[in-house]
Amino acid sequence: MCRKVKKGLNISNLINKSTFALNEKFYLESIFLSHAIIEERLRSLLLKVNPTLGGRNKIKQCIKKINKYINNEEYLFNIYFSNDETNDLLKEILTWKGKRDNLIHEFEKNYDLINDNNKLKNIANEGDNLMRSLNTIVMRWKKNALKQKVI
Amino acid sequence: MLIKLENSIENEFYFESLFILASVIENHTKNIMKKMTEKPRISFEDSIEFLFEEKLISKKLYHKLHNWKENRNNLVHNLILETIDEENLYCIVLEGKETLNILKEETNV
Repeated sequence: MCRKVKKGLNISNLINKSTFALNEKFYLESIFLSHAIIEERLRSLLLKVNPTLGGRNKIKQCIKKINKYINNEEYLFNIYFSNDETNDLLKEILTWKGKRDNLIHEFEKNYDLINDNNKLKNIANEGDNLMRSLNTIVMRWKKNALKQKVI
Repeated sequence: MLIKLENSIENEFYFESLFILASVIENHTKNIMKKMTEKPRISFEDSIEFLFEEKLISKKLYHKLHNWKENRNNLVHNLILETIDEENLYCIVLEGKETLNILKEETNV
C-alpha cells in the first residue's frame, strides 16, 4: 500500500475512533484525537505547498502561517482559505485549542472541571466538528491543487 | 482523576489515558519548578532537567521521564502515518503510570 493511501486510511480510522470515543463518553480521548488530526492537517497543508513551511509547527504557528499566505493565488489558498467561513473556522480552531490547553493545565487542581461531563462533552463535540470541517476543506483544496498541478 | 485514568485503561481508551498521564506528569514537574523559581513559562523538558539538577529526582526517574516523553511524542507524531499499534500504545500507558507513581513517591506527593 502506498504512503498516501495508508495515510488516508489512518486518518479515516482515527476520525472513526474519535467519534466512537465521543459516543462512549470518553471525551478526553476524542479531544486528544481531534487535536492530533487538526494539527496534522494544518501541517500537511503547509508542507505540501512549501516544505520549509511545515516542519513540527504547532496549531497556532500553522494558522499564523496560513493567514500570512491566505491571499496566495499560486497555492490556491485565496480560493479555499480567504472566505468568511474558513476564516471563522481557523479562529474557532484557535479558540477551541485554548479550551483544550486550559483543560490540560487545570487537570490536577480543578476536579470540578474534570468531572463536569457536560463541559467535556461540549469541548469534545466542538473539536470533532472543527476537525471534520477542516478535513473537508483540506481535501477539497488538495483535489483542486493536484488538478492544477500546484502540488 | 485516578479513577478516570483507571477507567480509560480498563475500557481500552488508551489515548484518554495518555491525555491524563501527560497532563498530570507535566503539570506536576512544572509546578515544582514554578514554585521554586517563579518562572512564568516552563517547558516539560526544562522542568525535568531542573528537578534532576536540584537532586529532587533520581537518575532512574530522570531517564524514565525522558524516555516516556520521547515515546509519547513519537507516538503522537507518527499517529497519522502509521497504523495504531495498540500493544505499543498500551505499553506507553503502563510506562507512564509507573513513571507517575515513582514521581509521586520521590517528590513526596
